[in-house]
Amino acid sequence: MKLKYRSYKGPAYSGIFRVGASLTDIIIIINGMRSDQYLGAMLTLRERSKEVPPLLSSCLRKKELSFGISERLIDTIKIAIEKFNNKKILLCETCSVNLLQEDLENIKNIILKNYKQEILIPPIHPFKDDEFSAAEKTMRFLIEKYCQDINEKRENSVNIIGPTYLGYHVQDDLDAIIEILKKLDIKINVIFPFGASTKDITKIQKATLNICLNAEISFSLLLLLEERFKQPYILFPPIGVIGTLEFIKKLCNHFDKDYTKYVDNNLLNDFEFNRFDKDNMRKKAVVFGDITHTINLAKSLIMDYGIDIVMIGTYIKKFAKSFNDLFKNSNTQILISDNYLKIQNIIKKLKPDIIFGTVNEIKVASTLGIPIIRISQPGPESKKLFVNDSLIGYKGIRNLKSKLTRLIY
Amino acid sequence: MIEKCSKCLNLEKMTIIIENGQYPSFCPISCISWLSDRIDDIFFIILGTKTCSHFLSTSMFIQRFPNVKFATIIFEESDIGIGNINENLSNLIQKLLPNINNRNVILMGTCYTEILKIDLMEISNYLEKQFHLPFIPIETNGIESCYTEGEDILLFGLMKYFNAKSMNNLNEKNLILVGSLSDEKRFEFSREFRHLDINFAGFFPNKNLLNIPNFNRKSLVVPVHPYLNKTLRIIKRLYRSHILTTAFPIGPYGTRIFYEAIAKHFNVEFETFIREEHKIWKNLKEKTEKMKGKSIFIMGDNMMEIPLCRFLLKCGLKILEVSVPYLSRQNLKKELEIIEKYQISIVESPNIFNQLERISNLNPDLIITPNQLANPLISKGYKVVWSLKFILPQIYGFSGVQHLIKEFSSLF
Repeated sequence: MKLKYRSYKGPAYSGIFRVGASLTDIIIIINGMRSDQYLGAMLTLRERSKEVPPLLSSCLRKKELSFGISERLIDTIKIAIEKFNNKKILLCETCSVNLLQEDLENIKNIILKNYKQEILIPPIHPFKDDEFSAAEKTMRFLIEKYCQDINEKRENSVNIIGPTYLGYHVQDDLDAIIEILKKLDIKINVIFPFGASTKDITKIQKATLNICLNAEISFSLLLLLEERFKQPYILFPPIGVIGTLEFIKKLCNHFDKDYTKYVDNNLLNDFEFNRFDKDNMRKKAVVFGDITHTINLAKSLIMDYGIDIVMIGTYIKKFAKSFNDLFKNSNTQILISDNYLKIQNIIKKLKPDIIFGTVNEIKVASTLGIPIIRISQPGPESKKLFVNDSLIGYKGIRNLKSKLTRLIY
Repeated sequence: MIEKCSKCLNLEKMTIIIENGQYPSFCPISCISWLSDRIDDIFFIILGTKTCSHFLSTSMFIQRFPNVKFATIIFEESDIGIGNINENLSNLIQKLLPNINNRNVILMGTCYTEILKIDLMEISNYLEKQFHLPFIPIETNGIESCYTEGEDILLFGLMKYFNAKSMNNLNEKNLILVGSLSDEKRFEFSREFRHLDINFAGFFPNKNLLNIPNFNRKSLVVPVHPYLNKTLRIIKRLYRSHILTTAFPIGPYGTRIFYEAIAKHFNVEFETFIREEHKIWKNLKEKTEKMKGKSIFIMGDNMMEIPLCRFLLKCGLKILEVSVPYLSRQNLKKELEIIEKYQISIVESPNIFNQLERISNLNPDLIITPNQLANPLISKGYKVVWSLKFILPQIYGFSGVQHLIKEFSSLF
């Protein structure tokens, strides 16, 4: 048993929902209670979507507690087959319904006798998995099923892997990376799973390089693609001036292009930000969030702005090693925990000048009077029109500079 | 399935259609957000799974009311087979004591405790002996209820808990209102009853949770919200009071009938209310002229649809369809009698895919929707009002008519 005030990670079926809602020809059936459909409301409100969310639920009533779930589930699957002819069905299960221990493979065999629709059941246990590991396993399941070993022709192009709905600043980050790739004249092959269909999955093996925008969802997937199709990968997105320069260097080395033609020299000359006043203006910062937005952001704060980082942390335990390796020799404190009260107490002791965090740190910041910039999930964030707010690439350099000058300098 | 409700209510023209129940709704746990605004001195402990805590941390309810005091205890896979969980629970609650700070504690169950049949009464007795604070057990579950019925189940649990420990009540003729309200509305209602010279005993629940009015055989119990079915049934069973079925105080016509029925029971004169109702309809004449003849379609997920429907019919709108999760034919008897002559179609436990087909055929001017379908319908060109706005306490009584009509008249 555990005690929690606010949570950072969601349950397992929300990971399956995120991947399924981003693909275009899939219908999701949730085997749970009626109140488990709150993810559909989150989806339409945050993403301002134009279509009804592709969601059906076979909800449990008191009749099913005594007689069993199978009848109601078979009825909803038949309704989905009749109304949505050309889509595939993805089944997921919630925690409390798993206690009744119904066999889903059996139901699949009963339906396949009369109908010809494809039903996908990813191998996930609702008590053992959480949001990120569940999303990873469904993507791996889909690629192993649809990406056969056909020897297609290779092209000089790039895959972008990782962005899904209900992430943080997904469309803005994609626009920032597409801007960099356009300037270098590099072709984009497939963006998976944001807006892809199941027919596009076979084309993934054509590309020669993978760029990852969400490392917590897709790390083992990148290892699988490297082993099978021999595609190298870049793990973290570029943040800051020196970060984008190194990113452009790596891409030019891979595609045999001349590095000096594509560098924006005007940007480097304009960006002389307190390089000579570093000793007088040492500010302290605290960085906490998920993995894609924290590591490279910390590096850019140290090298570009000269800010001291007093504490850096995350709530995902898999990548603890990379934090320890990077910040071994400096005075920063490393915190890897999930506990809402512990994080608040540490921030209250340190008293920094600025906080980079999630929505749960807003309370500490307002009681102590410290400015805060939100950088990662969890947290409600609706899509803004006509404004690009990301921290990646060229747009990120301008956004971060304007925010820091307004808040602490 | 079509049902003619002529036997139970003598309403021969009313037909009700029943569908198979494919509509979205939120969990009844979300009632902690608006109840902690209207009652002081409570702390919520929720015994559930990861889904419950994720829903409460990221939902709109908690962001709108930021002073909610709650904590969740999450069960994992290793806790499933254990019989007695009292000791583990008391170790965790020991860490919570500085946050509880001598308030009353409410233990809320979820679908998990319902399926595994965990006995909450036994747990609360054990914890009360250890910590010397009241621990009130309440069995909410999302199996068959929508989100407003969380308040219903909470008041039902309070009744059972306090009846086990209550003293004998004196028999006197008094009036009690059931339903949670904000401070301003309590002041307004008690001022009206003081003008009429009625023995008004108070509200249930009060601002202090342990302060319960005097229920007895001769008192008159009147509900303020239309979703309080379970509490009224248990009040009738335990105390044998008389329960009044009238219209609900939403809109000028409804509040007039509400006050008149109470005044008739106590044999007091009640002519001031008709004059006030006519004054209000005169002030609203500009706005109702704009809205006359427009058509409206109501897709329901809380139980407030039928009183709203009656208010909109009196304003002059045309109603194409009303859908409700569950229709309680006993409590809404007076409202259904008023609606009967207009011959509208009522749907119980709707199917949203069938309703979307009907909307594209009928083309209404305005739709009242749940949250999940608001943005898709706007992008298709319809005008939309969120159904979440009608659980606020500002729309009740004579002074709440301005807030109600603003939602509709600003769109035309």
